[in-house]
Amino acid sequence: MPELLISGLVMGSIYALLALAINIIYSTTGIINFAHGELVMLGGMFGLVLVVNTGLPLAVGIVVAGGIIAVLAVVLYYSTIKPFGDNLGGSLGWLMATLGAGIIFRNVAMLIWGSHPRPFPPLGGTELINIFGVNILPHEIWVLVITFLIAIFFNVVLDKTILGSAIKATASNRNTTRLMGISAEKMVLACFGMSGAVAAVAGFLISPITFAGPEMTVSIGLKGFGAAIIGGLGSSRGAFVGGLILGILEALSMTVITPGYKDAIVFLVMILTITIKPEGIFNVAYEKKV
Amino acid sequence: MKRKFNASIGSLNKEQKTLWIIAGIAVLAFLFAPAVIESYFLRIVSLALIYLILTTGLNIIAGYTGQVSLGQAGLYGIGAYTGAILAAKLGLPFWICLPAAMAVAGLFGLVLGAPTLKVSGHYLALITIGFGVIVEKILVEWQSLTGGPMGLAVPAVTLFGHPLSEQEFYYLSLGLCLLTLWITNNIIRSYFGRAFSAIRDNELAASCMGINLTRYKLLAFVLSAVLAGAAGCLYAFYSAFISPDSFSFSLSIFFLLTIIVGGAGTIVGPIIGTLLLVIIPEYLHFLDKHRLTIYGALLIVSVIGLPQGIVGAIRKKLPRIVNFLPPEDVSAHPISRNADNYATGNILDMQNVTKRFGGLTAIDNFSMTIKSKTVHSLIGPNGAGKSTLINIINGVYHPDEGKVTFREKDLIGYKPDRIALAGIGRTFQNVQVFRNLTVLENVMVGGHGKHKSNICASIVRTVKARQEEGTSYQQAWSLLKFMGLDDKASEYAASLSAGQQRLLEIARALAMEPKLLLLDEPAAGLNDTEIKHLMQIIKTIKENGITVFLIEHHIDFVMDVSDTVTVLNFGSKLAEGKPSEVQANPDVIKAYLGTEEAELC
Repeated sequence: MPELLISGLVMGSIYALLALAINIIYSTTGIINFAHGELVMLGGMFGLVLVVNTGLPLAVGIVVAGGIIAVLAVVLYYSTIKPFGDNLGGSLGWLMATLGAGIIFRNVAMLIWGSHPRPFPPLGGTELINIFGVNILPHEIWVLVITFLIAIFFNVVLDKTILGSAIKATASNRNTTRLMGISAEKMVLACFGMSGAVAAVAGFLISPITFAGPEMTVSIGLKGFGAAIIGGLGSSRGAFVGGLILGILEALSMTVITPGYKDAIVFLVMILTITIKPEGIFNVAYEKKV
Repeated sequence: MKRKFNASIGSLNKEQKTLWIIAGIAVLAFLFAPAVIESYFLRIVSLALIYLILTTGLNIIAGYTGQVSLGQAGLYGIGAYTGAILAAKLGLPFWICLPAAMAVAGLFGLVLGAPTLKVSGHYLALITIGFGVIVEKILVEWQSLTGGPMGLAVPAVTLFGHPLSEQEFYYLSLGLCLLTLWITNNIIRSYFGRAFSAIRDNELAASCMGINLTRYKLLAFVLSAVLAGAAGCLYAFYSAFISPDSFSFSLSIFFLLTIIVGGAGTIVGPIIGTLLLVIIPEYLHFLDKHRLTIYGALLIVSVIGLPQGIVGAIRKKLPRIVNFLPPEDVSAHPISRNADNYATGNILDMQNVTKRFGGLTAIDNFSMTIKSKTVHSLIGPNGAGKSTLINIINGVYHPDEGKVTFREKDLIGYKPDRIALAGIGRTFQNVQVFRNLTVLENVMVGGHGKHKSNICASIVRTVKARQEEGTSYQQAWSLLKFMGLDDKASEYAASLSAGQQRLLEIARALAMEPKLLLLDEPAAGLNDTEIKHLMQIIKTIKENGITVFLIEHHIDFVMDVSDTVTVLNFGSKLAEGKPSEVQANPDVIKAYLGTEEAELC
């Protein structure tokens, strides 16, 4: 049972890590980046190239891959979201465009690296550590710790700093934000950059568990969206808790029901949450003014 | 009366004639295709026709109703497996499997559509993606029923005991496809189709026109699911073998891509998109490795570069394709007389109404009665709560306390569509026309509540359905003429000026044949001539026995047309009476002009 809980928490942290990055983009643009799972995958693949093939130290690899994916996220913004202007709520063109970008990323990765998943070195070696009678990989501890730190970082940035206020103001009304002397464009770019860097970190953390391959995030990516929504879009705390809930739920459904149905159950919970409480666990619904 | 009420072929313009000729050639080409093309290619065209049944259905929900579904492959899979299981395990013939598959898929469509009542946009996208994944997983895991990843073999379609050949199957697909297009076209051209498009363009305005959002959204979902089920069943028999990986998420994206490329929200769009995207890759086999990458790029390029698809681009070049002809007899009296027996009573009664938004009390213990067949105006400074009051009357907001009765019936708790059908029409302060519908169609949406024929009658276009349609069409033209907008009938509402859009809203509200008409700042943004015109319009409306409740800032205008004026300030009533009395009321002067000291500053 404790092993189950740990594995649930680890997968949950990974979903949370995706949800946090999805969330930071939502916080500033009000949209969901449907190519986020593929950015995470590319983080893993670049990690493979830099660390396994080139032999860079892991820490350097993370930083370099983080930079590359951050730039890629900004390119993604310019090519698939910016063309739809300021009023992104009005159309769903960006949704199709980011989905399209995700397809391109995945298939180009397949052309370059092939579809075969490859092993990836875990953080902290492969020796099990025994904590309170539970055997756990150092990598799993790293996943939990790093996710927690990133969640706190985003929480502080969004809720406690002037930058966070500027980011939220951008989401609320870009024109007014510009009139306040804030460059809305810079806020959006900063958020896409941050989400890209976090995507790369997520890629490094997921790859040792799932192996690195172009299809490693097909279902993980969707669960990241699920986590963000269950927790409530716009709330870092929600994204973090939503991820953990999803991970534990998945671990439970693997033992209580059969493993094959775990994805079905996770998505069923996501659908029910959206239907019953679309604002998520941590947000409050307001009556919209007509 | 013919379609679009064009009297004959002779009344078609050049663009429309060309279009009909192209359509005729296309149908002939499909009819004689098996005689000329080889069997491999015939199979590809059959597949395109099967897909076209699905994409036409997807177009109803995504293109017309504006609810993006990324779970269509799931419904397609449900249809395919229903057909396959009935045929393979129970030995039932295709002709029983097909309706069963449509029914089962339709049922799932109802389930999938339920969340749309609360959410749309990216939430709906995620729900439908999740639905597709769940279906795929169940198809893999429920091995006793579906055969799991190993798949399921399906027997051939038989007719009178003999299995259909490749050519005969092609004709079967073509027949079902043409039937689908005919049914869909008739639904879209009916008041059902207008209701779908109205929901896509503006849910709030649609519900204020009497359109039941729940019913129509679910109907659209079920229609699209039924067609996906039919396509799925046909596919199962077509390929003779199905497995879960034939119904993956990427297929859902492909389906959406076809209608985006062709032109969502048009009948022809899915035809062009589906045929192009299924047939062209057959000539580009050397690109097969890059096929998905190209699809991804196509998705980005088309939503950015051609948001209305190929058909949208053609329409822009040839605007005269949409051209409504006026009916022979445009009535001089477009506003039907209100034969209400509330000649002297109070048509609307509000008692002690309070509405709070969070901590702000927008309306505070407000009471008012509107006398039948009068013009009752509401004035007050900005932020006094005037529009909130209209929104409470027609059910957009629910008050926290108090009672609203309309013709002695309680309105509290009813949704805007029910209140609209009870006889309350409205316009909006910030104009809410259906931007992507033509001016004429906008007005016809207003007549929604008068259509009584059910969907089957609309599909086969019974005499009664055509009569209703004809009445709506005629009334819409008359109202447009009355408003002076008849020369704009075939244009899209978005292309009108702000003032014209306001007049269009009034025409649309009059098409509802309301007993009480709520006008929220109809004169805002109008010039003097237009205001004079509007004054005349309001007087005519009143002469026809329709009660008008008017919110307006132009005081001269209000004083001229009103029988009674109520002044609202900070959510409560400041004064009420005849225009001249209110004008002389010191409290009113104070609220509008400030106190004397303030004036001195």
